[in-house]
Amino acid sequence: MKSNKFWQIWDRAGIFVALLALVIILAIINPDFRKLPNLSNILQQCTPIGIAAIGMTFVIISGTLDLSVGSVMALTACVMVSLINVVGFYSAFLIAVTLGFCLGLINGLIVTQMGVQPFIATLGTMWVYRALAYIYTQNKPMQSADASFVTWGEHICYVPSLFVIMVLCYLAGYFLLYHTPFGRYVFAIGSNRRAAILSGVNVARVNLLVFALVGFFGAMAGAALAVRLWSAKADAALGYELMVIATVVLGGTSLKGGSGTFAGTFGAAILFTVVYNAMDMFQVQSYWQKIALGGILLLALSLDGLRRKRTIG
Amino acid sequence: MLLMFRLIAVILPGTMDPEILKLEHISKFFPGVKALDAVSFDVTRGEVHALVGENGAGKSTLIKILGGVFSQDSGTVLFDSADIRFKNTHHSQQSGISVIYQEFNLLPHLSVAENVFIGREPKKLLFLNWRKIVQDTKRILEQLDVSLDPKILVEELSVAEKQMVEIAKALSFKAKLIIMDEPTAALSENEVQKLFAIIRTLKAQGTAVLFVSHRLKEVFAIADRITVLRDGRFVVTRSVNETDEKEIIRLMVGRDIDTLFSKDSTYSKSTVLSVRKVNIQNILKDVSFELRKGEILGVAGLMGSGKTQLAEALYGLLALDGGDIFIEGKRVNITSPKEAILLGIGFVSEDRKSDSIFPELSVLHNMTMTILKRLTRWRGIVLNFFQERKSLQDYTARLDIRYQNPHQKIAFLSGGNQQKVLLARALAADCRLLVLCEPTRGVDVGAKAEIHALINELAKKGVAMILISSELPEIIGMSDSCIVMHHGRMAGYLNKTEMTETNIIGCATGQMTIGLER
Amino acid sequence: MNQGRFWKLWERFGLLFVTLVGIIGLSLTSPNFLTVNNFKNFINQAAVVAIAGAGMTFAIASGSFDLSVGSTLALAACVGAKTLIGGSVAASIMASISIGLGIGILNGLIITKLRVPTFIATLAMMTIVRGIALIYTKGRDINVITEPSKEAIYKFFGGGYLFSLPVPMLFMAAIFVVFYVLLKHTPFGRHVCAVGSNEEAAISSGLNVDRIKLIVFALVGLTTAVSAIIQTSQLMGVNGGTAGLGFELQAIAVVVLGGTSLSGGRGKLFGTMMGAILVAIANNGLNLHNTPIFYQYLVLGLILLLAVSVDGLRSKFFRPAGTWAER
Repeated sequence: MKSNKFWQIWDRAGIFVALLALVIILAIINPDFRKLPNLSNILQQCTPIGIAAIGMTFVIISGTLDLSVGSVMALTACVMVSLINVVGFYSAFLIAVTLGFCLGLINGLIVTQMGVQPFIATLGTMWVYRALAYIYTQNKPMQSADASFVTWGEHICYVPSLFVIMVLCYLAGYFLLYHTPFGRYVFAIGSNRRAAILSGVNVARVNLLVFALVGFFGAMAGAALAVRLWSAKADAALGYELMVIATVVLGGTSLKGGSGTFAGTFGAAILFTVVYNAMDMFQVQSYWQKIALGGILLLALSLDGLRRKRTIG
Repeated sequence: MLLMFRLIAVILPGTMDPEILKLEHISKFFPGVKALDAVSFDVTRGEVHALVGENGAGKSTLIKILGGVFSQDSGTVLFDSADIRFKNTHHSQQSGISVIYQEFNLLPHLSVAENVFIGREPKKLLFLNWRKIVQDTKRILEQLDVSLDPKILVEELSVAEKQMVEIAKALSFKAKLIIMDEPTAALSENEVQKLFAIIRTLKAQGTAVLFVSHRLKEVFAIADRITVLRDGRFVVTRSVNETDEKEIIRLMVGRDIDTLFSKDSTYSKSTVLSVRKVNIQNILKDVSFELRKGEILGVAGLMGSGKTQLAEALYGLLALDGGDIFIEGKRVNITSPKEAILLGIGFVSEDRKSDSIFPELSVLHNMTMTILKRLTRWRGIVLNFFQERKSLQDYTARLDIRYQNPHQKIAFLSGGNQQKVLLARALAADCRLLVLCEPTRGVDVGAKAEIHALINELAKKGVAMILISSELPEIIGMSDSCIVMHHGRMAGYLNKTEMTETNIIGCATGQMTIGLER
Repeated sequence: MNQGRFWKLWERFGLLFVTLVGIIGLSLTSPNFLTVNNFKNFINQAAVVAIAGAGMTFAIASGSFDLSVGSTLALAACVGAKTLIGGSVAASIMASISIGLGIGILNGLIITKLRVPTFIATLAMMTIVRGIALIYTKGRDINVITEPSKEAIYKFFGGGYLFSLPVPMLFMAAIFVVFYVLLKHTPFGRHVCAVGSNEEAAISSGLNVDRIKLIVFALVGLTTAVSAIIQTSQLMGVNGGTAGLGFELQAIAVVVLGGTSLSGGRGKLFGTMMGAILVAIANNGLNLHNTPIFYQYLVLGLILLLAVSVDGLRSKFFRPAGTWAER
């Protein structure tokens, strides 16, 4: 049937089609959009959410959600920036990334050892970590003028270094998910947890690692954020949880778990950034941008809901 | 009864047909498959009418049409002399048809009384009339000779008790036809007899029962007539006393299956598994037995006897409180399925859908889940896709699994082939001991014979097996020896000659003990 | 006392026990705690969260939840405040309630008609409504300064006394009694639990699940609007960008604290109220010790985590003998 073909294509590459269409339309409408500095800017802007979405893709495929990713980004970014002048850029970065990994581990421990549902657990840690960020910074912005910020914020032939890092992270995530037993176990747990246990999968350990990954990539995303702004505040990335989850879901990963696509997440991250960029370009007020984001999400998911309705009955 | 109806039909034509349900040329299509093809048969008032057929014969499609889940593409449904097409499940219920599905349609957090009257609660002004709800429920339960407290929450009930609640619900709708889909699948012998008593009560009250089941022995025990469906078509309706199991099977399958179960008695002397005085508090007590290479040990028992828990303990799902387990002479402590797999123990769970299948994943991924660690390069980090595909090919050949391509979603396979994939998964990890829990439950007769043949093959190749089943013919036919569980203890340790139905049921109900000295 | 008895007692009285411990602890460490004025402070704070929590309890009992209540609170408060300045008290209250009901119904429609998953739908609404609130107030504070008579009447809702008891507390008690009766003794309440217990069975039993969910979300919106009125009455001002930030967490947290399970089928209203009171006492304690406001987030998060961890351990204990995983 014709409509079935449409949905099949949409499933596999829909997000890229939409992205391509949007880019082309915008390029035609607005000459400023076409300019290489602007495109380069877009690629750089999408890095924080794009990188954070890598970890979130793992979590959603495994069947749950992690609501603390925004707070992790803020906390690790603040810690990193505050330590740059003390231990140097790269050490501060390593500390931040380790911290992110540990914060994720804590999430995982609460879920696996205490038997708390991930939704509630990460809701709680979302506020605890955010509060820690406020307490650590005493609500003052952390700043630094380190030269490394400049280096990492640059581009190579209009491709930002941060974007290159993001692509590398995606490749790493792709490899982990599709080419290792661990990745397969993530799918299994999301698909049927009991069956995974019966197949000898160490569900607790896999879950633990998945949450740790979210923390790890969250910290990387926080670092990207810091590099872009040369600073970090406790209220950074406020509300990013929504955007990161939206990116993953929009990219084609189902909230039910058991299936997912990295390529889709990648495309969705760029798509969101293009939309924001376009809105800025057309001077849409920031308040309206919020509304637009929510609207796009609803639209995309109503389409998804309608599609599922079709395939069921 | 029939005579009386015929009389009334003559006197008052059209008002009281003897048939409560008459299906005429019912057809239903789904994309790519014709689920029902001009099916016609009838059910008389107050009759117990059995509907049998292999999986895919069209039984569940028919049930769903009668239950109002969807309607037929062509053909008429005459219910209670009226041509009717059900708009939704509620419409069907209100018209007098109640369907009791295998998975039940109950609300676990609500009480029995609330479940029975959900949506039609008696009110006092705006509030619930609790007293009336409880009273009315009590009255219906008494009709069924069932003693249940209407205020208990449904989640606290046993499977058999939940079934009673469904029947009570049907009665509260004054159902004229109750359709039961595999009602005895999860019941013990005792509970089955109780159910049959209730069905007879319903019959006496004039309620017809459409009894859909795979278990022919029970069908012959309770039904008046049997209708056979095959490949979506109606085959025949026979009176129970005019036919026998063999003929029904032939009609269901379209060919003769003469030896359903047969086991070649060959096994070696080397002991694979030795279980000594295994204890789990409140669940198992002093269970001991031995299993040799190529031997099949059947495990029988009523529900709650501990037979499933015994299997789970061997697979590392339950911890032992006492006793020892020896694998090939070495004492082992199995703490997780992962460890069990490393020890060469494979496990096939009784509930495919909720326990074993990864619905979103492909056939390939489903099969290889237990052995991923060995299908790798570089010290277990990177998956070796080539090796993975090869292992699937191996098992596809060995077990004759049918699918279109390895990356096909497993949900598209038939029940029998899904079971084979799970079997392959359990065997793949160098399995020397295979624990099978109800391996042919929900599998049609044709595939059942195939699986039994496979089990035979495996035994010949030296795999020791533990076969847990509630189908006595299966246990008697397939096992070399068998233990019978009763309230967590071994009531019988029977060898081939002692394995008779009488003995097994006798031990299972606690009336006798056989062979415990071994 | 063996473990079983301990857990059974904890299930019934644990929350009460912890609250009492908190009260005793605070009265010892802070002289101002046990005063009438302070009681009014924390009970009024508790009422705001508790009332929205009552609606949220229904939502969770029906198997859903609503992440947009914080933004709904903000918008209802802003619209109510602006209306009060320009119009009568009655008009202001009507406006707030309409906003709350409207957003609730919109949520319900998006979820039932467009089939958008609850999580995404309410999360998206959270952003959209917040955006609307910001546009409506142009990002600036609204200070409710108007005729003294109007101010006095409005202030009554959040800070007045009736029969020597604080008005918010009476509102809270009244709403909880009504909701309790609704949940346990009316067909609608039982149907809400039915939907949360087994939605498919509810549908085949002929329940109009879509309508039930719609009404539930409307109730959530309604109670949130009442909370908005009380809070605005207490502050006599509101900021569209910051009002209600994190409120959805608080509402869900107190419901979960109170013992209602996220999987649905049951609703423990009294528990929700106790949970709100406990959190309010904790925050009150922090205020009395002059800790900066963001510590409250820490405390809220920790209390929630502690409570659900204890609950998690408890259900591990109560797992029926011989089962090896939660279904």
